[in-house]
Amino acid sequence: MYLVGTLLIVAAIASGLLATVSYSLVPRGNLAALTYGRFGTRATFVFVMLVVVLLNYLFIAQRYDIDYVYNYSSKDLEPYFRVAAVWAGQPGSFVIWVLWGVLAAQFLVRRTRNNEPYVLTVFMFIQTALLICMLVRNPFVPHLDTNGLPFTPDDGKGLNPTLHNIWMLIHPPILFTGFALMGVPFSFAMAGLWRRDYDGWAKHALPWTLGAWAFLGLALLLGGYWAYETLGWGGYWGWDPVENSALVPWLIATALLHSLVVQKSGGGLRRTNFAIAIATYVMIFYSTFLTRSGVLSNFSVHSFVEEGLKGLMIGYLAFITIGSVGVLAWRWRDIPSRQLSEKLLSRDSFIVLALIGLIVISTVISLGTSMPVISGIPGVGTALQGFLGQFFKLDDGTTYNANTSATPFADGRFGLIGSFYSTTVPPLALILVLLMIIGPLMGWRDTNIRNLLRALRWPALAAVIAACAGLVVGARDILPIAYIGLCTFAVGTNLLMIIRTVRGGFLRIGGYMAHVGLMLFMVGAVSSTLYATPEERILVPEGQQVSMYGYSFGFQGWQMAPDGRGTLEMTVTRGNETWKASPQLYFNPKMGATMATPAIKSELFRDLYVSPAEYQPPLDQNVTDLTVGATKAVGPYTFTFLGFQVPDSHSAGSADVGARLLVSYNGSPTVELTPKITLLADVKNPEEAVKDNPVSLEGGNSASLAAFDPVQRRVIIRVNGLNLPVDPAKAVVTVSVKPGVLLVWLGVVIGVIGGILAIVRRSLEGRLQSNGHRVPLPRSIFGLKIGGGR
Amino acid sequence: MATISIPQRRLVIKPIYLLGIAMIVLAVVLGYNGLQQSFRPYTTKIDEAIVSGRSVQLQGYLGSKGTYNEQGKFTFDLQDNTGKTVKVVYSQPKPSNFEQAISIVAIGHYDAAQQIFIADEMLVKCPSKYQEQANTK
Repeated sequence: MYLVGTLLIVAAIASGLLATVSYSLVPRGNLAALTYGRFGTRATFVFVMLVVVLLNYLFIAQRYDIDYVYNYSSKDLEPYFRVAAVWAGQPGSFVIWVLWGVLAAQFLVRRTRNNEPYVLTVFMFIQTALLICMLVRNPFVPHLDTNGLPFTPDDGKGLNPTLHNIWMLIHPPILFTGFALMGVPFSFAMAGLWRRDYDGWAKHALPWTLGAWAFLGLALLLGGYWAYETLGWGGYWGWDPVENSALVPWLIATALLHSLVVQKSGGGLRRTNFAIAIATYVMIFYSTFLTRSGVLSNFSVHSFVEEGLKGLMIGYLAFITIGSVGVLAWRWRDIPSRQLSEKLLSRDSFIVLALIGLIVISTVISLGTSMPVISGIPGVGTALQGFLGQFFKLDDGTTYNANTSATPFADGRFGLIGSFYSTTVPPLALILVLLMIIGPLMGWRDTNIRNLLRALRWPALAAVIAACAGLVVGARDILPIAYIGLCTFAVGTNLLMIIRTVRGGFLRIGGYMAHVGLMLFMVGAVSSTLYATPEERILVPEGQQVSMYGYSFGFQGWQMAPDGRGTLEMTVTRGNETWKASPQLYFNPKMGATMATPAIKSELFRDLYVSPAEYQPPLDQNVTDLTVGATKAVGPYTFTFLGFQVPDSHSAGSADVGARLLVSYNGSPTVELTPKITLLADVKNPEEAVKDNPVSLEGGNSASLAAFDPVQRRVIIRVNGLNLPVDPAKAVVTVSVKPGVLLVWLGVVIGVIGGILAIVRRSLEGRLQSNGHRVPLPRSIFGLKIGGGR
Repeated sequence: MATISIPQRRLVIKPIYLLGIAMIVLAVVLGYNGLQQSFRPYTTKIDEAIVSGRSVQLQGYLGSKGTYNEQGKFTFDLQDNTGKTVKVVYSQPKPSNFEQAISIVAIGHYDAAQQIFIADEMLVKCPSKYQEQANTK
């Protein structure tokens, strides 16, 4: 299968190259090449599909002779997870990335008219490049034993439990759809520069940009939800390099779709659009480089290892960056520029300010994320540390010390912790909120200030009420109150715009809906970040109630499922309301991985987050467990274990093992005692073969050697007669209350729906305009009329 | 050739430029402050972390089992390449997969008074499939 699979990948690369080269010949007048280009594009899709089918077959047929199947699947894996396991590993993620890419390519053939050869030359080139990555990280490599010989294990290692859930089925395909679609606007931009068609490309690129943007946004949401709901990471966003590297392309794509709309409406921002389109795709490749090349392996929670793609990724990144920037520079003077509105109070100006804001935020985040890479360049890290060391005054109790701290560390690299982003991004994002309050109300070129102020009345009132409500609920700092007030303001003005525009067709409200969603998201994000309670660790003994944050926790017992999934059966009570909470702990010995799934109680304004830490089995207080030299107490006694006592010579028929103990009663002087276990030979009844020889203790009790472990040199001593209670089993959980999390999910969902409306609108417009029609947008959905007639 | 006199463009400072520049300045200021708080040099030497006394990312290996101390904080010994160990106290619950860690990055600072490394965050690296040797049964 290795051979077949590899041949299919090579065939896909060959067809991709055929498509790229043939399409690139078409603009030179070689029209026959168009046929080859189309054929190559179709053939690439067929070969990639065959690769996917073959890989799926290998997983379903449980071919553990293939290393990739061996590593990500096992006999007990459910069939649909065997399909999902195809993209569980890094080789497979290239497979689905390319799959969506070549699928998108099929929609570009014939439908893009004059653009077709230009767009597809660029787009198929990208797909070919990714296919080469796929060949390097070949998913069909056979499983080898330590001697390097092919070897077929009986069973695979199984899917990592963190991946073994519903999100694994949907998150990666959606993420890679976003990644693949981002290639399309880039290809249109390159085609526009190549053809010197500086306006037409924007029209075509807009729906694709919106599509990529919506998929990437949804993927960010699902990733966050996965981490929050299933993986028990405590939060949905940790400013981890991997998360950041998907966020930055999304932010730049947001900038791109706004600036494309400006160009569509008034013809401005031509050069800017090319630059942003290039930046979007460069950032996609850069984020892939960061996450796949192992450069961040010691700076991120996600484990990355160098995969042998570092050189290739750097090469692609350099080629795409230098190539596209070079083409733009070459055409720069040729691109006619058109003035934007001179008025500050115009949509043009506000969108330009929003672009600046988005790009500034993206730059801050990418610079922060790249710090380990930048400081990893030989010499740079040391120099930066030396320079920065002069200014440092840290906020966590450590202060700059002139004698030592200025000396750079031997390993020049440094990273930034999450607080870098949480102190820089929220104030900058607040500027975007301000722009979103007024921007949508304004005309493209100019605005009547009187009308603007009239429109602001009710939203402003709502904002003041919301800010006061925030104060009452307990927000005290300036930033969160500003967020609550201004976001409500923006929700108000955008709702007003929804009401105004829905009459012109419900598809027009997409952008405003996205704004409303984003505002809800921001309020949720700020409140759940700033006002989440600390994670408090509590021990809940079975049958007792423990209170924390106004909730009362009870523990009913530990359920162990046959697959090793343990559940802490708990109840949570607040007021008269009681509900069940079942956080799960799962240890997978095959993967050597523990997984903790939290129990979450979501309410409108706050989430109760119960994360399992440990299950402590019942503890018998009459018993103690001692290693050599250890001292422990049982009731009034303290025991110190000195070592084992074995008889000098074996007396006939029996053997003794004793534990030499120093015993003290209520602080009295210690005496040495040796409780023993005697093994008798030649006894009929096996019950009598092991005999307990306890020693009597001061206070009328006795101590026996209950068990011993000669390898670890441990003994268990039981005190008889004290009859101390048995401690109940305990559930150890961490508890926190996070306000506003529901708003986070709700906001992103509303935003994505808005995005989808915008996609439908823009692609309808694009199609109709290119046919020379005026654009009537539908006024009803599923026969349901929305908004007034004309 | 007739010359058309092109009026010299005066440098007009439009309000939008000022606002744009203001945003960039704000970002620089915030970024600089953020950098001061969040800068964490990376080191694999415990001595270096101790001498500097500042917050670092200290990479090492498990030197002991993890336990909870009297205050209910998670604690363990971290060992570096040279074999030196330092006691690490972590303010959060035990990270999952802790026992399987092949490498641990503790982010925090060394407290000279208590002679412990106080970790605010930890990155636990588990054996990756890509590094493991194929096992023969």
